Amino acid sequence: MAMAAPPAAAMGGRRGGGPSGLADVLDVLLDKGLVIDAFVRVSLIGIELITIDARVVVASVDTYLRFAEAVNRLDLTAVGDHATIQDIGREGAEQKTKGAIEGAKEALHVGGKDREKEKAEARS
Amino acid sequence: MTEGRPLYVYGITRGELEDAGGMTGLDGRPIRSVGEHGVAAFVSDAPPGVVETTRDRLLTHARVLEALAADRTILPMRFGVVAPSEQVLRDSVLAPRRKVFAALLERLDGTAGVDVRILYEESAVLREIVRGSPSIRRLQVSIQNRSAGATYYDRIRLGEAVAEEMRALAARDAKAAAARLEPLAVDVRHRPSSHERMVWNAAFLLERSELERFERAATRLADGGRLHVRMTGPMPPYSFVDVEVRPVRRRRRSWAS
Repeated sequence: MAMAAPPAAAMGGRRGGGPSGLADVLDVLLDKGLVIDAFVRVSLIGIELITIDARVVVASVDTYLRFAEAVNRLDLTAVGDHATIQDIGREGAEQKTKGAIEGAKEALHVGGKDREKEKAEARS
Repeated sequence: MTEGRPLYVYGITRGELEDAGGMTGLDGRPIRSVGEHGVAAFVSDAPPGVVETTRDRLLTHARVLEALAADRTILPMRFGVVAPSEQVLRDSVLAPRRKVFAALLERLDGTAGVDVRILYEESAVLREIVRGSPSIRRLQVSIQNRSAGATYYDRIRLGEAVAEEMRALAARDAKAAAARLEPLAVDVRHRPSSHERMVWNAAFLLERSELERFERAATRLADGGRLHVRMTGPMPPYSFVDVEVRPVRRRRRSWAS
């Protein structure tokens, strides 16, 4: 038998963390790959639980509201528009501070999701 | 003896009696090869009835193919392909379609698949959008001094404007990414966006010798912190076997004569 190469590792920082970026591969397995007509016999029940990249409908009101909220949480000093901040006044400044903290939480949450994914992969 | 039983098919390669290295497949069933006219399918007995899609089975399918692809060229099947019997697999698929398989295998020799998903880092891209659009900033300021209930429609307008700007930015960034990565690839398939902040979702077919260079180039796209670049691979070339194979309903004798 030919020399077996080491199991493929996911690129981009997950090397060694598991057999592959399986969360991303699962999506591909259900959608790509060679198909022989009339030979596919598979039930797709429970797929929502399996695919991790949720198919987000891009143009939805929910998305718009979420973007608006995220924009309003931005730390405006980082935008470099001090005049706008002065216009907003004191109340706005308080909101701004809160926004920065929430922004940080959100960033952590995003990282956390990735970690969850990796944990899920490590478990399996 | 096993000819009447349905077989779960993992992939197709060259050869007749290929060594599956003692691997087990779905539900722990042993994997073997079924060879015919120089092409062989890796199979195991299929789970009974309709194959329910479970995480375990998907992972097994992925791992089996990853292992098989490590030391040979293979055409990976989509999850859930079940041949009614070994006889049908031999006579209706492997033998009559051997030229299609051989051509695909030749095209894929020495290559590997890598999927790339590029997403915006949310706060970075939103800052960029707000900074670049006075009208968005005006809308944002007008919203901030009013109650949530009073601004519902304005917030939808704001979010819609942001989404529109993001799409325009993403089109430019995807083009830039393509210009950097596509010259390194044998082939590419663009896939639909699966996330609201997704810039680009593409499957690449790469020469194995180019893998490292490609990884470095893709990683560099994330420099500056605007973009997240997620790479998956090297993996079997799932996205590059997009050929519809129809079983041929003929008896062995008719094509052999």
